[in-house]
Amino acid sequence: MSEHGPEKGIKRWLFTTNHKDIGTLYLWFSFIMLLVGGAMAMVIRAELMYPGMQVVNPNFFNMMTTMHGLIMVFGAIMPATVGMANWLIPMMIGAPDMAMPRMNNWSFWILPFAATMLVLPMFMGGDFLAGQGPAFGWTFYEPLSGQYDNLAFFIFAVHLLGISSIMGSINIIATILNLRAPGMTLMKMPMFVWTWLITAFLLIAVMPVLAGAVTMMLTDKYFGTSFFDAAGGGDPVLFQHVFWFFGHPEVYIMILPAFGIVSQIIPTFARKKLFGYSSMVYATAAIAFLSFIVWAHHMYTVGMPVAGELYFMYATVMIAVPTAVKVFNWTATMWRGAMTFETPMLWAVAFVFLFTIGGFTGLMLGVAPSDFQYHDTYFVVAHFHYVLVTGALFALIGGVYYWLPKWTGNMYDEKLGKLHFWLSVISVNVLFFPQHFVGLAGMQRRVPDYAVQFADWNFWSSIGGFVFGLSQLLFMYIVIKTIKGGEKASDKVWDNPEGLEWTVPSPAPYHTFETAPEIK
Amino acid sequence: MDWKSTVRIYLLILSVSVLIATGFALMGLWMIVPFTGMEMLLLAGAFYLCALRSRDYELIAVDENYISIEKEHGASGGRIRFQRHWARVDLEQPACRNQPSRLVVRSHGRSEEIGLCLNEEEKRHLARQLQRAIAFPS
Repeated sequence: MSEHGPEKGIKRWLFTTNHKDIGTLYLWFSFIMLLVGGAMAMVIRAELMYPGMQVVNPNFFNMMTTMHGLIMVFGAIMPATVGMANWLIPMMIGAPDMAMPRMNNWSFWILPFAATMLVLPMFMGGDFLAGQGPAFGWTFYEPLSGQYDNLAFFIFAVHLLGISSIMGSINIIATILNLRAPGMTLMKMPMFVWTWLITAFLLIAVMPVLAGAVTMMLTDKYFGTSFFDAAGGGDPVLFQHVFWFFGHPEVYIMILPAFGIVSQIIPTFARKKLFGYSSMVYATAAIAFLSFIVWAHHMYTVGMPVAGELYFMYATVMIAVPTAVKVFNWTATMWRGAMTFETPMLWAVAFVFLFTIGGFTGLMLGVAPSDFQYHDTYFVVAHFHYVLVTGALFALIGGVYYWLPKWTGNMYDEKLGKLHFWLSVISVNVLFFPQHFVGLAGMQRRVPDYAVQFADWNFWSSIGGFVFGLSQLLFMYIVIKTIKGGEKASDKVWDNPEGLEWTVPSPAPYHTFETAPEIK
Repeated sequence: MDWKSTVRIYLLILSVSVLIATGFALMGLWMIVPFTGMEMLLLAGAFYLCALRSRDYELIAVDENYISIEKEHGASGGRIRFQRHWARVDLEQPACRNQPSRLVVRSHGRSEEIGLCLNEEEKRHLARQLQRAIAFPS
């Protein structure tokens, strides 16, 4: 059959049902959101560079911390993982496209509108610098969030984001279960496909909880109900329970696909098969299950019975077991491998090392008595940034370097890639590691000013933040340069990588696997 | 995946989601229930459509005397035969520019659309192939 290509012009992107086009849209959208959320982080770090108030007013600062969290979670990391899934899952399982391509188009095109709805309230009321957008933290705890004037805008945005996520995950489940090539049994699927299948199940389970929670916020504010309003017999603490029942699995929704990416990269550059494939699958499933039963470790200090604290503490610490299985398996894959350190591998190795630091601090926070000391301090901020920046984001960036030659047909500039890596990995540690120290010393999170005793570490943290932020502009330059040209990539790109995506030409043709490949 | 396995997986997802929604409803947060219901309906619809469409096929056979078309498309399907020497293969252009063209085999007042799952390029290719296949040998 003759080769047929995409539509020309804007129509290609508006009406596309092609998984590769939609993957590209997701990835560019998430990168733009990363820059927007990153710019907000720069504002936060500029204000915190010195004690005292010098750059923005407290309300604007609160708005920045809120919007930074929301944009990074819902606008950057989640869409980036969905973009990767769109590009890679059909190619990895030998499918011609996603199972429901039109729904796939819709899942993406809801996102820019949702993001606009989320960001728009910042500009309402005429005075941007007054900070009139959401300023109640990304966790939007009641009753604080209920005081916000433009709450309906925020809730509508969350609903749209949720609809997009649900449609995306249904599509991924339907694709993986129905469109695998003959012979591609479940236990032959690449780890990235497995981690996304489990992530999609998590999304399906928790998204209605988020939708219900924000709708109850809406009716509490505008229709006189009292789900979370203590004055009417409601319970604000119940909001925290329902939020974290969604919020904790959400963390795994962001990190499991990252595990999958790293599990693809490490075997390629260690030139060995992934160690303990089946245990990796079971560990992923175990982590997903445990993520449902540990939510209240985010709220040890809210006032729970000791039995409750004990239960959530033990359940939380149990997550270390399947997570350690994964870390040991990655390490064992590298053990005595013929390792080389191309840019994707550097990001993957950094992921294993730095994500483990985030995991260890998570264990410290999971222990209830010690959490009373760390709760709501910068130690928590350091912990979750080690998980989500040096964890999820590092894996995503490593994944982009790994598959970029397959996507574009050109090799990226290895020297610039390594420069990007070293700038990022040094600056990110300068940024977040000192936050452990100031947190342990008692510096509260979500404050625009602090005691002078924390000044030195905050200064260095800000310097690290600015360098890390600027380094990502280099990443953008490298990606655009690779799209425009460069040394031609071979079909396999790397030295003997595993997976069906490496059996198609580089760049991957617009349509792949119109005839299903046979898997032996 | 066969229909039985699809139903089993759906029931597993449904039971987890219903368990969560019921738990919250018992604590007074009943508004989660309708969202769970809507999501489960969407998932059921997606699984059903996938299962239905996974059986779609078109089998076109050309022998000395006949063109036989056997097809299954969603809930409809069947088998039709045209006399080869009288049959015509037409690629009908749509009235509106954004609509897809129709690839039709017709003879003696009967017609059958084929190539429903193909894009424009593939339809043109199939039309050419069929026209060649049913032409008299020179």
